[in-house]
Amino acid sequence: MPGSPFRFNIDQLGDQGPPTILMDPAGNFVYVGYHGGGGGAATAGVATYRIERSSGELTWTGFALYFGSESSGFGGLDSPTTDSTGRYFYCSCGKPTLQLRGYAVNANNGFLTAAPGSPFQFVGSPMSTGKYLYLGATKNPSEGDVLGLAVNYSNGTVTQLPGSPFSAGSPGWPITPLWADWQSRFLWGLEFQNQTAASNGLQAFTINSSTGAVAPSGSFMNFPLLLFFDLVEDHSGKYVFTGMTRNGSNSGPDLASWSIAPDGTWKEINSLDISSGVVSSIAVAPKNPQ
Amino acid sequence: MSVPTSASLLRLVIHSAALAIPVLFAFNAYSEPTVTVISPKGGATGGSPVFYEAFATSPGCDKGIAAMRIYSAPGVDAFDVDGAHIETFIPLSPGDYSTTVQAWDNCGGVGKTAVPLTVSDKAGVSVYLPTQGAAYWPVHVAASAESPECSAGISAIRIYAAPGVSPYTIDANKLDAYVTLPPGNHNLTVQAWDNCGNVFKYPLAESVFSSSDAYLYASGTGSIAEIEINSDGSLRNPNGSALRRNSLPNRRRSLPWTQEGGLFMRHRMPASTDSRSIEATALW
Repeated sequence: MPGSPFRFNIDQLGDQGPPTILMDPAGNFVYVGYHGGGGGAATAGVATYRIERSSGELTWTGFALYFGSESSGFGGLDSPTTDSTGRYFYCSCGKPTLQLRGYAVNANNGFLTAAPGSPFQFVGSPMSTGKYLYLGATKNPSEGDVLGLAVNYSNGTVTQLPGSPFSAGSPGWPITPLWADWQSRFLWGLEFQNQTAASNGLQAFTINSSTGAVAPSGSFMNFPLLLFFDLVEDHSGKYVFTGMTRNGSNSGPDLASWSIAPDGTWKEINSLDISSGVVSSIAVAPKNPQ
Repeated sequence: MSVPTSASLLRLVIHSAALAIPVLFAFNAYSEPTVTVISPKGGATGGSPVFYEAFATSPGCDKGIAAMRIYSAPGVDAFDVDGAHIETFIPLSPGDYSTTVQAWDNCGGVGKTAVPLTVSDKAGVSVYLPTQGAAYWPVHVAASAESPECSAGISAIRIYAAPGVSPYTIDANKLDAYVTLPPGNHNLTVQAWDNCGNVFKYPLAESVFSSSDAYLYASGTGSIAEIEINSDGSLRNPNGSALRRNSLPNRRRSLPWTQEGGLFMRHRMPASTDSRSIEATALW
C-alpha cells in the first residue's frame, strides 16, 4: 500500500514509556494508551485513531480519555482491553491510583463514556474473554489469585464471580499479565516472581464457560529469566506463537511456536531467530481472504 | 499508464563468451492483475449505499498493485484508492448498473471484474456481508439501510448476535464491522430504524468456522518479518528477516489485537533523535 507504513508522531503525548496499542475488535478504531514516565510534562490517557478501511490509513480523532498531567496527580494507564465485541473498554488506570475502570465505546467516533460505578473497587491488569473479565493479581487479597468478574452487557458494569478470587495454585507468585484464549477455553498468566528470578513461567487455567470460574491446569515454560513481549493464538485455536526472551538473553531464538494441549498448557514445536532484536509485536494472518 | 501489448513477456538473454554464444530463452509468465470482488456479488440486488470490497493481485509484477477504482458505469469514476484493496460504500440511485472494479499494477498491467447489479428502492436492510450460510471467524458484517418514504432517513443500524444480544450499533445508514462469534451456528439479525418510527430486520443464519493461519508477522526494533506457518504449526522463515512487501497477497482477515482489517500495528522505538511514533503497516 503506497504510503504504508503510516507513522504518527506521539512525542506530544509526553515523556511516556512504550504505548499500548489496542484495536477496536470491530476494526474501525485504534486506541493508543500512553502514560507518563517522568518529567513535569508527562501525562496519561488514551488517544483514538479512526481506520480508513480501504487504505489502512489512520486519522487522529482525539483523546478518548485524559487523566491529566503528572503535576495534577495522574495515576497512569495499564492493560487497556475491550470486551470481545468492542462495546466496552476497560483499563487499569486513572488517578490518584490505578483502578479498574470501564467505559462504553461509541461506535460512531470511538469516544469513551464511563460505565456506571466506574472506577470499580478492583485492582489488577484486566483481560477480557468477552463474557468475563479477569484481573491478574498485583494487589488482590492473596498474591497469585486471579480475580474473575462478570460483565453486564447492558451497561458495562462488572460484578465479582462466585468463588472469585480463584486460586492460581503454587507457587503463588503474582499472575500478571494475563492472556485469554480467543475461544474462552483457557487463560494464561505469567507467574512473575521478578525480572531476575529463575522460576518465572506460565500458568494455564481452564475456564468454565457457564460460570466463568477458572482453575489452574498446569505450570509450564519455566525458563530462567523468562520475559514475554507478545503472544498470539492462531485462528484454528491449535497453536500459540510467542515473542519472548528466555535465559536472560535478547539473542538467539525469539519467535517460538507452541501447540495447545487439551488442558491449556503448551508444548514447543520450534523456534526461530529473526535477528530483529526483541520481538515486541506479532500477528497472524490467513493465506487468502476469507 | 501503459498497457502491455501481450499477456506474456518473452525475455531473451544472450550471453557470449569467446567463440561460443550460448543463447538462453527465459519465459517470465506475466499475467494481468486479477481483481477479486468480495462484495457485491455480480447480479445482486441491494439497497443503497452499496458495499464494495475487492482486492487485486499481480503475481507477475514484483512492484505490486498501484491503484484500484470502482466505475459505477462505463467511464464514471465512483471511488479510487492507491493500493490493492477497496472497502467502501457507494451511494447509487435505484436502477440497473454495469459497475466495474479495475486495478492497475506497477508494470503497466490492467485487470478488471464486471459487477452488474440492481439497486433497489425498497425500504429495508441490505446485508452485503456475510453471505447466508457460512462465515469465518471473526465475522465481517457489512450492511446498509434505506427508507425512501422517510425524508429524515435512517437513524441507526444494529447487529443482534442472538435475541437480545447486541454487540454493535452505529448511528448511520451503513455498517462495516467485525463481530466476534465463537465457532458454531448463530442466528443473527441486522436491524435498522428510520427517523419516522419504522423498523427493518434482516435475519442471517450463519455457521461460523475457524481456520488455520498461513503467516506470522513479527516486529522487533527493525523491519517487520513475514514468517510462514506450516500446517503442523511450525514456523519457517523463507526470506530472511525482511518484509516481503511486493509479494504480499491481500490478507484481509488478519489478527489479533491490532490486525483486523489487515493492519499491523506497532510502536516504533525512537532511534537517537527520531520522534516516537506508532506505525500502521498495511498487509496488502
